[in-house]
Amino acid sequence: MKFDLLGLQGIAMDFLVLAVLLFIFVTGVAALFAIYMYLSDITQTGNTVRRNYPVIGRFRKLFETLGEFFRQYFFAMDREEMPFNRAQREWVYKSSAGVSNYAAFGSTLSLNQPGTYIFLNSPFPVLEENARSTSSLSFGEGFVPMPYTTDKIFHISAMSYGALSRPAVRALSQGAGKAGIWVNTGEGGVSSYHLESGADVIVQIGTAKYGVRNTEGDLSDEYLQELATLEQVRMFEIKLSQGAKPGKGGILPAVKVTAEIAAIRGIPVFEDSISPNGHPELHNTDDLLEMIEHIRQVTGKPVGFKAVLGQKAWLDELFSNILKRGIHSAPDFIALDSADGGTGAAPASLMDHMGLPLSSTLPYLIDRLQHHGLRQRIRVICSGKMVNPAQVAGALCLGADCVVSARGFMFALGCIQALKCNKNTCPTGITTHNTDLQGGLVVSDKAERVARYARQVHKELEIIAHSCGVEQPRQLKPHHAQVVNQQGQAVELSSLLAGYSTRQSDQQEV
Amino acid sequence: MGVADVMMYGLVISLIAICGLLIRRLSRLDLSLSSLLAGLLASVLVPWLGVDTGIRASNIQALVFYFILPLLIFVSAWHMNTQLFRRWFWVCFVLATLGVLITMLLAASGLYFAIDHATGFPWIAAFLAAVMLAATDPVSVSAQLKQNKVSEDLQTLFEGESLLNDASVVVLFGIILTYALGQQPQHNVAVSFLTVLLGGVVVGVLLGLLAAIFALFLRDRSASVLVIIITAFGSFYVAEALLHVSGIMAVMSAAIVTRVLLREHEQALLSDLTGTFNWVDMLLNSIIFSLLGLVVTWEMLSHQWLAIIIGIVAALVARFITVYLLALLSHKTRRVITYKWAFLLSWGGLKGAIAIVLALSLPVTLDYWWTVQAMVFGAVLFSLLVQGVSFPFLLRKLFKNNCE
Repeated sequence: MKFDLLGLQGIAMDFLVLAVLLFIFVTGVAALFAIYMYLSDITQTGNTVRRNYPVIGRFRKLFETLGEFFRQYFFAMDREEMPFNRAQREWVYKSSAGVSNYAAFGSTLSLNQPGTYIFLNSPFPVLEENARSTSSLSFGEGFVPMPYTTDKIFHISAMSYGALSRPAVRALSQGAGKAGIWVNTGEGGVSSYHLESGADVIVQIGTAKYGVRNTEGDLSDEYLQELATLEQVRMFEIKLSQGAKPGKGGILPAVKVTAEIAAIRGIPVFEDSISPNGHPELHNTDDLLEMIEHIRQVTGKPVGFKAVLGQKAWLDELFSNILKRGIHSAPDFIALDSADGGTGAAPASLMDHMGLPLSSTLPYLIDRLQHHGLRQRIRVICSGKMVNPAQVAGALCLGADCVVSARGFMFALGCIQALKCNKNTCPTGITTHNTDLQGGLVVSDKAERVARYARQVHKELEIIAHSCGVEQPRQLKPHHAQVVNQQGQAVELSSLLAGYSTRQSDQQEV
Repeated sequence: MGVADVMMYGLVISLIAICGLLIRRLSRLDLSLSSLLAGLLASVLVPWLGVDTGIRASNIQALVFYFILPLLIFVSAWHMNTQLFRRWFWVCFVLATLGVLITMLLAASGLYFAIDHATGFPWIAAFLAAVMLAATDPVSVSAQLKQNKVSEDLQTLFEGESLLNDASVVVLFGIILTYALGQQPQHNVAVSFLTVLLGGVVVGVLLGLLAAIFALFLRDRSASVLVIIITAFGSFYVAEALLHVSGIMAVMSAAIVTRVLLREHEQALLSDLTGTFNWVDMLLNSIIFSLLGLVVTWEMLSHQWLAIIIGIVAALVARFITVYLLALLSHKTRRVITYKWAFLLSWGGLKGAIAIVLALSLPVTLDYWWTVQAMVFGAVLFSLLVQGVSFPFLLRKLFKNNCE
């Protein structure tokens, strides 16, 4: 017993000595390392801050890197992050998780910010029992052999397989299937992952015509026909421009062009996939109408185009042309994108400064359609940063028929707005082809979240509609909302158009 | 051994090395072969002139061990940090660790059973010989690869493997040698093994850090070269002679740490170092092969010819089996060694400087040291004369077929 004790004491002493030695060693090395850093900093010539403030200057870089992450968690207020603030994201997260997104105490949104929608409540809201379900809406009814009808308002906007990962595309299309909304393929072509769930699919035809092009890179009627035979392929959308990068084609960075994606698109592996900045065969509105007519004849399904408006005079030309050719020649829909729309990769100057936002363009488009008597013929889909029901309802008031969102559904998939879409390092597995990162994205769970989010948006649209005294969201009209102007006053929605019209006429006078 | 003796040894060896360079200039042989030739000539001519240089295997051990080995390893490790073989690092690493172990085990059993003389040539002797035979040093081979413009990957693989296995072979050699000398560690084997390795790393890290501090403080190109050369010798000496931990780990980690810490100042402080390392590398290789020529004697070859043949065959067979085994395994990973490459790697895995240095540093107190040394020298000579010379033909043949 005594012996054991001695042995233990010996071990304890050994341990103590070892610990002391280790401590001395570690502090010694740390001190030496500090000296090294000091000397290294004053010797190097590349970095001014480190040269003038040796050792401590190094922390600047460290904190700058860490700051990006800390700001989001600790310092950014609920309403100040861009592009989407925490309050907006939180709403999507809670809706898609299926937990209550009621807030307490009062609004944190300041009601004098320009552009905020304020809905005008009725003194006699529509009671639950009088509510009607959202009326359905047809695209191309009476003009194409296979028109498309949907009773949903809020759908999934164009995101290509390539920009998005495989599990993200699968979760989106499965979620769309569950919620009865459509999913747009984006310009990367139709993959089996879009089709597997049976959700309605809108096929986008980008400027490079990925997925529907022949070996020369031209539009292939065979591929179009082949796609059109699939029942779930509902409509075709010609992409003229995208809100985030008007006048620039799709950009898929080389790291994201995997073998499978290259095969679907018909391009070389691991080279930047850059679409031309416009359709080579389109030069004027006539060409556009020809192309729409051609695709409609080949496929027998509604065809429209997607564009962001900048210069606007061509709309009048287009609509006059349609009337000249006959009302059947019109596109079955126009997808109007806002300048603040999303993208996986775009030059900052185009992202920030090119094209007009929806608040300027949507009223104008609706006005022009009404002016030419085409409002019933051409459906208007709009998109651009509308992830919460209020913005969707605002667009409906302005005259939109359907609203689509891409980033809203990405939040539903678990996007944390890390802004790494073009790096192939998306931490949530949505925009990366790194299979390790994709592992975090479980398709069945996220599909359910996507569906819940879509349902919650529709439900809250109905709540807004009922408060405004109408039975269903499609009855929302411009007089049901006001918008806050630069002076912080709420003004009629029609003033958006009025302001624009006078400007336009001023220009014409000059 | 007085200072005058050391001076004389140094001068004689350097003179022979210079003669080696002369032969290289005149004969278009490569450095190792021409130095070897110079050494052989000297070993024949000098006694004939009636002069005794006093150079024996027994008295150049310390010189080789404390002077040549640290520098050689330091220069290797210094270059290890370059971007060159990041791509093939893991393959080289596996070749240099697992590969060396397998080669050693295979070659040792081959040697033991072929010689079949348990008292004169025990297992420990087989292991000592085998570990030296596991070191590759394809200096001439990589020069040929460069000339033939074969895939850079293969070249990287050759160089990377040799860089890494220098270290593992020297460490293994040290461990086996302690057992051979009967200095079994008192404590647990694994613990003492780890202490020796980690102790070496700690010494190396500390001295590397100090070297970086000194170089930065002195802020002078020539002074940096001086500091780094002193670090190479100092870390080995402090670790090996003062603290009795692994000198080789100390040198390696000192080289890597210094290199990393001074990365930013390469332009300003280290630009003279390339030239220095070039001549140091040349001098060392030339000296080592001259020494080989000096100590290889006719008696060695005539007495030990059987052992030498066994050594050569065992080393080659073990090398082939190991490389093909790992090539087979590599097909499960992203970095594939093709079978054509495996063949070149096996045949081109020449034995060179490290093997000679280790064989020269064998203590003469071991009964079997002469046999082991003869085997290693024999294998080195064979690999230089047969494998090295035939390699270009092999290369041309294999890659011509490939092109067609």
